[in-house]
Amino acid sequence: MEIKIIELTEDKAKLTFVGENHTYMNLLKEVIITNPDVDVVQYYSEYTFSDPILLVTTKNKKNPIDIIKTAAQQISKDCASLLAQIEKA
Amino acid sequence: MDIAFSRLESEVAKFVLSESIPAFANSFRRTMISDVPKLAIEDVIIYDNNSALFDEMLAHRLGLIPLKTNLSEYKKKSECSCGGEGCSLCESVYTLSAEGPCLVKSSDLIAQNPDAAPVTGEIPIVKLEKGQKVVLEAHAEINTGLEHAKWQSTLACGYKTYPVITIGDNCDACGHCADECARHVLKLAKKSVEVIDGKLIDCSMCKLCEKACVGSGWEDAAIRISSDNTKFVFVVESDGSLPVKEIMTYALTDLKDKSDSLVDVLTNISGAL
Repeated sequence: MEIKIIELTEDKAKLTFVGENHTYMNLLKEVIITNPDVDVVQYYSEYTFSDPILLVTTKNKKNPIDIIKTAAQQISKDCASLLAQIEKA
Repeated sequence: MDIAFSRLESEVAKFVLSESIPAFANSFRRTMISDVPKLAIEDVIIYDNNSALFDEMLAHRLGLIPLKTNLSEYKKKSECSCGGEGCSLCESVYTLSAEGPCLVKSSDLIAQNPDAAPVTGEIPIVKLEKGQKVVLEAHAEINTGLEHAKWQSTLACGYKTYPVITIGDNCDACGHCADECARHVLKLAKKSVEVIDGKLIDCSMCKLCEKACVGSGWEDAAIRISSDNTKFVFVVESDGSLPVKEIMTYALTDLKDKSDSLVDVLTNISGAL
């Protein structure tokens, strides 16, 4: 996955996800928002087919990059557990 | 997250995804539809065609024929070592030669690699009259449903939230709701209506029962239909090119790989700061 940093401060991150669309971005957003340290999370595309931009701001100066990372790890863990169950079926 | 299959065959799967969230169910569905690769005819070299169909219409019809796909055998043209020129690693070649009067079917499409033959031989391509002739060569390549619907390996692929039926104490067992239910989910018991065992999953959440309950004089309906936002009833059908299990596995692996690579990239970013 390719990422471009637009803005990165201690409690705010604005990243472009190259080549991604709603399929992954919506899931990532919904998982990030379950984190209580998150203030605002949203993604948007400037134009219909342009790369989506993810905006994360946090409370108490928590590192937004770590929060996105935890969410991605959570998704990966869920997929792995489902894969193991399908393998057995 | 848990997955429980109620049906798992090579071309159809029905399962309940539980302890999940709507966004995950939707991403899973979207990935199965648009990100799972398969073979489909892309380039057609027409040597002879005086049939009733134009060349481009013929090529379009050929493209939509589902082909058996072995994903370990072929790779995407753009990722192939041939540089997109087309070789035996990224392309499957077919020939078709027919002379009228006849109905040209997908079984007339002769594959160089029998493992990549059409899923069924019964798909009509074009009807030829006497004297009409079609001779062509077709090249199939791997791509995803995001590019064109001919590379979409699922037919029906969707989900609904798990239905929840609550029957209140004010139910007087009039039975109007059970009569109204199109899916026959409800039955009349002694004191109130009940959900028939194992039928809950069939409920389409149309709420006709609620309307019937209000219509029979209650101000507040005794029966209420709601949905459980953590459980999803899935139906996935394959067109035969790939087994359903492989489609599901590929889609989940795709989501997992994306997440893993995102974790790697973010680790690099925080390390660089």
